[in-house]
Amino acid sequence: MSNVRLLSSDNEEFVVQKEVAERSVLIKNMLEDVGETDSAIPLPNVTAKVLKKVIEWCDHHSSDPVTTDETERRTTDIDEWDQKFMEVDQETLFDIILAANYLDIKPLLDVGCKTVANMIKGKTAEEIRKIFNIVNDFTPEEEAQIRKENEWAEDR
Amino acid sequence: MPYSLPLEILCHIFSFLQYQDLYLIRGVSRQWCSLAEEHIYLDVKVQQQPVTITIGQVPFTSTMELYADSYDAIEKVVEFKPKDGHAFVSSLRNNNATTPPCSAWQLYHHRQMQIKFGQQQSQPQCNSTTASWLQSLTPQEQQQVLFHLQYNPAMECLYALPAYSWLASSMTEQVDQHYVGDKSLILSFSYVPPPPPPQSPSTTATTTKATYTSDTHSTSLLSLPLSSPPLGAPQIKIHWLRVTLDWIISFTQPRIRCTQIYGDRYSRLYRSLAHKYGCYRYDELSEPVLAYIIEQGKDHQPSAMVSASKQRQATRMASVTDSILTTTTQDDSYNKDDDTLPQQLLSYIQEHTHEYHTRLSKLQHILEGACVDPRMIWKYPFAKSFVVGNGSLLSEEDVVRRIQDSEEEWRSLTRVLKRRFCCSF
Repeated sequence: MSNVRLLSSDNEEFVVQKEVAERSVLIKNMLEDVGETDSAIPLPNVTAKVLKKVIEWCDHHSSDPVTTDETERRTTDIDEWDQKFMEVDQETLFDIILAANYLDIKPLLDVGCKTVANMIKGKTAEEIRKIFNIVNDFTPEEEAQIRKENEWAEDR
Repeated sequence: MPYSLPLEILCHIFSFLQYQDLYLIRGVSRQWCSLAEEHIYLDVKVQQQPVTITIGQVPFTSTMELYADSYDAIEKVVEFKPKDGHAFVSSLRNNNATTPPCSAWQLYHHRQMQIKFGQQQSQPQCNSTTASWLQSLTPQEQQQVLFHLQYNPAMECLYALPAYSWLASSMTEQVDQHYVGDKSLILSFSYVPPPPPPQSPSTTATTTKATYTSDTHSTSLLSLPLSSPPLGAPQIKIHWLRVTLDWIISFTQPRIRCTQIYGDRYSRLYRSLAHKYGCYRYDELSEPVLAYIIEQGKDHQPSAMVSASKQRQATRMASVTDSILTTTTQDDSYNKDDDTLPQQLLSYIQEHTHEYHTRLSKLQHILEGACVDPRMIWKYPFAKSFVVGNGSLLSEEDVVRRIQDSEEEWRSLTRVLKRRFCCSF
């Protein structure tokens, strides 16, 4: 089986099985366009640290079937291996999501986004603002109105 | 150090959240608020989640489905319409082939309507219903507890359709425009005079076939069953249904307290009436008021027909007016609001102040006064029957007293269970 060389933004090279690399639709399209080549594929938006994680995920999921059912995709829980895989600091988690988006690896993007969605559930507005670095731009009246509308959830 | 994600990713994350979670995260920021609200609407639209309207009582029911069509981001109102965008016409239909065809008295049942969102059933509160303490209760107690815990007002709610004016319809060919409203929804529909009876056997056969196509939610014009009474049941043409976002969520989250649809418009109307005419109490669900609330939107939203030059002209005129009126007091704004109140509406409200014209609004009002959650109406069959005028012999005071007693009984049972099992519901 042939290998593909990938070059991270900080110039670290990774040699990956073609089948694994092709989990990324971006890389798959590039390989189809360029054809057989010895030169490394540059990935200027992904650092070595993140690319290593992404390759680890692609390697583990290289033979996964593609899910086309939208409802199934949205409702399936994160499997145990992926849960462990996503146990990283928040910066790395967001970087993995951005890399999955850039490299067009939809299942990895889904796992990352599901992880963040789980982080959001049950959190207060203030806690979410901290996670996402968001400034509260509501007027006191607007904030009071929304708080009133959300009262039902306070004693959940 | 916290990190931010681009909007595109944020929307993808939102797609993994339930509507109730999306509703709660509106409190994060203005951007999140509008993103979450729009996401709920778009998801309902893309997933083709229907609103099902059932008219009549089993076995004489007619159902139709409406789908999300547009979203008013300012009023936070979703509009559902029949699938092809045209008005849907329903007819009284016999669901059960073994039941005799409808007769004149069965038109009575036609006045009952139920509006439900989505295909899913109400989710029981699992933490309570599967709790071990529940298993230790007597079967009778269990039944009582589950009855109250699994109650979802959104799933049980019934509406009475306004009376059809037979005389008016026979004298004019015009459609009979109506509104039915509740705190968080308004339905617009018309009664259409029944079509003339079939003349020939060939026409008859076609009519029967058309009637039974309503099962497939066909948007074609449905006719009445062959053996309908000579008078004929009116056809109901649904134009649209407007609901608040919380109404949509209330079908899976019964605890949510639905907000007032077009709250700002209602507040403006209330201010105008209270300050100028001393009308503090009137039936907010009466058809003239509902019609006015809907009309307000037409005035405030410049229609697509209004050209840009007209809008510019209007802006210039507004600036001239501003320069003349150097001071604007609170009272001035009330006068301005007042100017927009049509005389017909004013007369109606003045004549009917402190009156409640639908049984639903009357009951809701009395219950609020008695410190009982008006959403509890639908928990009790006797109250439901009263609202839809389904042969209930009880007076409204009786209904309110029985609801109060039953709710008090449930509160007492809750207190006992909490003490006995140290649990929360």
